[in-house]
Amino acid sequence: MDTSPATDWQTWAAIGVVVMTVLMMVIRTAKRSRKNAGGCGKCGSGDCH
Amino acid sequence: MELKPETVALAGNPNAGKTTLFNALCGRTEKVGNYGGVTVELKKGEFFTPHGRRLELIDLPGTFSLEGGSPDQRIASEVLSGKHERHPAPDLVVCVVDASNLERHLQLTLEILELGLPTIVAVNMVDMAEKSGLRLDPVKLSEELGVPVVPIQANRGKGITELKQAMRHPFPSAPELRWEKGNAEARRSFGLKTADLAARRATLHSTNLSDRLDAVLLHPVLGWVCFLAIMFALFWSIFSFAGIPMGWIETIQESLTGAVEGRMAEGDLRDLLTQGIIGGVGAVVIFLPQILLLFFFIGLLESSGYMARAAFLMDGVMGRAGLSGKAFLPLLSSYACAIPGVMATRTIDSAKERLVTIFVAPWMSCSARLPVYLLLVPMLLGGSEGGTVQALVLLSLYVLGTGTAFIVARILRGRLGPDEVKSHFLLELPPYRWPQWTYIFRHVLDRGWSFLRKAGTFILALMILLWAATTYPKLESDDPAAVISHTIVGRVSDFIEPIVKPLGFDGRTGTAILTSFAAREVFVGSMAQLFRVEVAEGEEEQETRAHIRDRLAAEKWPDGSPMFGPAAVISLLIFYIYALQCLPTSAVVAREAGSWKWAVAQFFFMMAFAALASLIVYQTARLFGLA
Repeated sequence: MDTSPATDWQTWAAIGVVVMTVLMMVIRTAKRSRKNAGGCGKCGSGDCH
Repeated sequence: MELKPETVALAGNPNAGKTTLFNALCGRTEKVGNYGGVTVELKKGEFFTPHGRRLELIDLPGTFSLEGGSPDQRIASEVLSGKHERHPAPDLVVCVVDASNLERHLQLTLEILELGLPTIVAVNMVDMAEKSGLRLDPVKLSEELGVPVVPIQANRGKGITELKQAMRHPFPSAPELRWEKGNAEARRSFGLKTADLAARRATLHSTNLSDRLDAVLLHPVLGWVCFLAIMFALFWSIFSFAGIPMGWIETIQESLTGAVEGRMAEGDLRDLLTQGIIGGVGAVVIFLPQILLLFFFIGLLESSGYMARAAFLMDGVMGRAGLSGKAFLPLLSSYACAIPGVMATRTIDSAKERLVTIFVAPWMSCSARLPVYLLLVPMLLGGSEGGTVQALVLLSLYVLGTGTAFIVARILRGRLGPDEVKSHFLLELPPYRWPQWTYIFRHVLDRGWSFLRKAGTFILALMILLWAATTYPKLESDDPAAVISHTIVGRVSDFIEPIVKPLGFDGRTGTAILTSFAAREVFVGSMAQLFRVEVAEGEEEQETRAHIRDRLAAEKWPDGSPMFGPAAVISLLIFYIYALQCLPTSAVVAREAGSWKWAVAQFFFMMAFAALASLIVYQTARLFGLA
């Protein structure tokens, strides 16, 4: 495995993006479930097309 | 403290133009169509009169009578009679009637007048009526009914100011009835007499363009030929017209990948950007032009009035499936998305027929399945793009889903027993109208934006997580197979491969199917990532477009046989036609059916059906040497 400095910072940055994504998804889900049982005013599903 | 605004309810027969008037009054863009049953729930908005009064507007579902039995008609009746649990009786009713159908539409108006509420009658589509030779006398109509009458043309915004002027305070008082209250026969004859006095035909009934078109489009044989030709043209255009805009999206995708690779050294972040984000999300976004085309053609058919003809043609077919023609429009809506389709079943009077329609609605191929079909159909036909054969195969996928839905509906309907309330299908064939281009383009843009928003948020997040799962934990090895096997996806794939292999899929395809339970479109992006499809700089456009398919077509099983031969591709297509991979749909089914039991039963039934159908198709195809 390449362990050059460029790879190191890129690995940490990529992990950071993944962790941030997970956090954002958790926060959005929590917010939505607190707001109502679904989200969409029309169907209550939160994800209608 | 601001006072609560007074409420105005828009009431009328289906397809009288209530929602078009609602949009014109409130500046909204709610869905409208040139057929009845588009609005199945209450919609609320606000507007100001020229005198500065703020009024709350409620758009009620269309109903032929206040005694209607279907859930949407009950809502209208309950609100108007003040029996609705959340909405007290409105302060004013605007009764929308179609100028060309005064005889029928006045019957509901008279029922509403019997409620004793302040009422204004808005006579809509006067232009169409006048074109057909009808001479309307609004003053006479107002005298006969005893309430203000305003002629309008809601789709062009004509008469809207006059209607707002008529809503000035104090609201018109309820009129003295000139027929015996509660006597249906007296009401009917008064309505007919009033319509005769207020609307006179300059000429005797003559054949107009709508009649001439209907002679062909509703013909028992020619009508079906035209229906199939229109459907074929729709699918053919999806393949043929989308090529150029798809090329633009690919060029953007390639430039982005090239820019990132040119500026960054090799590493995880670069891989995440190129393979995970640009490759994964790009693989889904590439189908945007085709989604837009589908919604454009649906809008065109809805707006022109052809959808009502399609419903008329399908009534006989629906009868054979144990359903009434009322189930057709909900099923038709499900081709765009099952959620509005399931909600549209509120127009069905019979509870059992409604449940059956809800149960089979997800088998109408929704727009989320389209990217999957568009990836797999050319693979089945050897990768060639465009053309008649692809359109025919795509059309047959839709027909297969629909046909199976009808057969299952028939079986279920037989098992549920006879109805307490029979469903009656009453359909008004509206005159053909020139499509409302503004509405269609707004609707298409709305859908496009919704698709892009989903790709930029939900699908983006899933692609990032999927990239992480295909990359970590890392293994220091020179063997690529050992490296991928060590990752989270590798382990999941190894685990599920024995389960999905009889269906013709390897572990990675099985994993891509698992990810698409979040949203079906994700399958394409997941396949692009799981089979590591990269968009290489400088590739020929045509080569790039076929890149995912080429990569998949080149995949082999350990014994050297192709992984995506015809049998596996057909098996995948069959799985996607039948599997219920949409949690929001299940949530809406639970709400509309009044029980989670139905949603859970539907989910497991459809998944089992999909797996079994795939298994049978794959194993049979193998026997015929198509693997």
